[in-house]
Amino acid sequence: MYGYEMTQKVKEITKGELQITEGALYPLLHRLEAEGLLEVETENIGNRLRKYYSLTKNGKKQTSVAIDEMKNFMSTLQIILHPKTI
Amino acid sequence: MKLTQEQINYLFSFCRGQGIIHYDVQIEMVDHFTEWIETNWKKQPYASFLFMIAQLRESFPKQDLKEIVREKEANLKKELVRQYKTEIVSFFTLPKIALSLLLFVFFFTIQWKPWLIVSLPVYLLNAYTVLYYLFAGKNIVRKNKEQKIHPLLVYDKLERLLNVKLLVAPILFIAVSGALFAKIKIEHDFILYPIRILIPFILIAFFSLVHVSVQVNKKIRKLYPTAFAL
Repeated sequence: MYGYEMTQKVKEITKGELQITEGALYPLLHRLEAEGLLEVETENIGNRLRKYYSLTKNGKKQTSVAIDEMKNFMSTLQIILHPKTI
Repeated sequence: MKLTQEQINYLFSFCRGQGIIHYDVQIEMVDHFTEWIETNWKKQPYASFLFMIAQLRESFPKQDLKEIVREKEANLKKELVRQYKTEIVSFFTLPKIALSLLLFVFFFTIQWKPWLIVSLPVYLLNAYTVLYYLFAGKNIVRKNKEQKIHPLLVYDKLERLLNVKLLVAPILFIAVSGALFAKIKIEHDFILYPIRILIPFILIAFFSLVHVSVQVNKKIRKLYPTAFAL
């Protein structure tokens, strides 16, 4: 995926609820690339080059760890918000 | 509406005007701006290209773009240091550990003379650099240097890291001259042992720099082929 595509995809999936600004997206992409979680390829798309980002092996591993952490966090929040009455 | 080559070239000048002087950053932003203009132009097809540029300028303030460049610089530095550390560690794992062991054994067994301490590591480093650049790197470092036609941020950061290499000869020279001036006998164990351990480490650190330099140069060439004249 390339930068602009990501911003549009997020907007589309969340029906406009979530919008990523370029000022937030690119520094994040560059940071993840620096940490070895993303890898970059460029492709000539006719009249310009385009940078595509994809997850590295380590990036995929970290993603599943982060998703699990998020799920745990959400379930903990649920417990706090709706405590079972004894 | 698809942008013409001329309009895309204008976007490159727009980037330069906004303070994005490096080609590797420009490529990403020009692609983003092109997509943005093409998408928004569909909604107002009678607008001129310059009108779209004015809208672009409003949507992407100079300060935001500068921040992207600043973050990119910091992350590139971080990435190069990470690669460098990985490369150093690789000299202590198979198969490169064989070379490291050889260096340690060699520097522990040779007879030490002051002139040898100054010159041998430098000769070894130079020989290794030349051979590695020519054979393993297929001369990519020299080719990139000669054929680069656009400034690249990653290249500048790499050059800065490589400048450390220039310090090794003067540091060794000053250290040994200082020892001789102070009439310290170099054969003393308390001087000799640290030197015997330190020199292989210094060499490994610099060999790693050479490796990172070749790897990054190969990556730059692959990612930004249009930044070089063929």
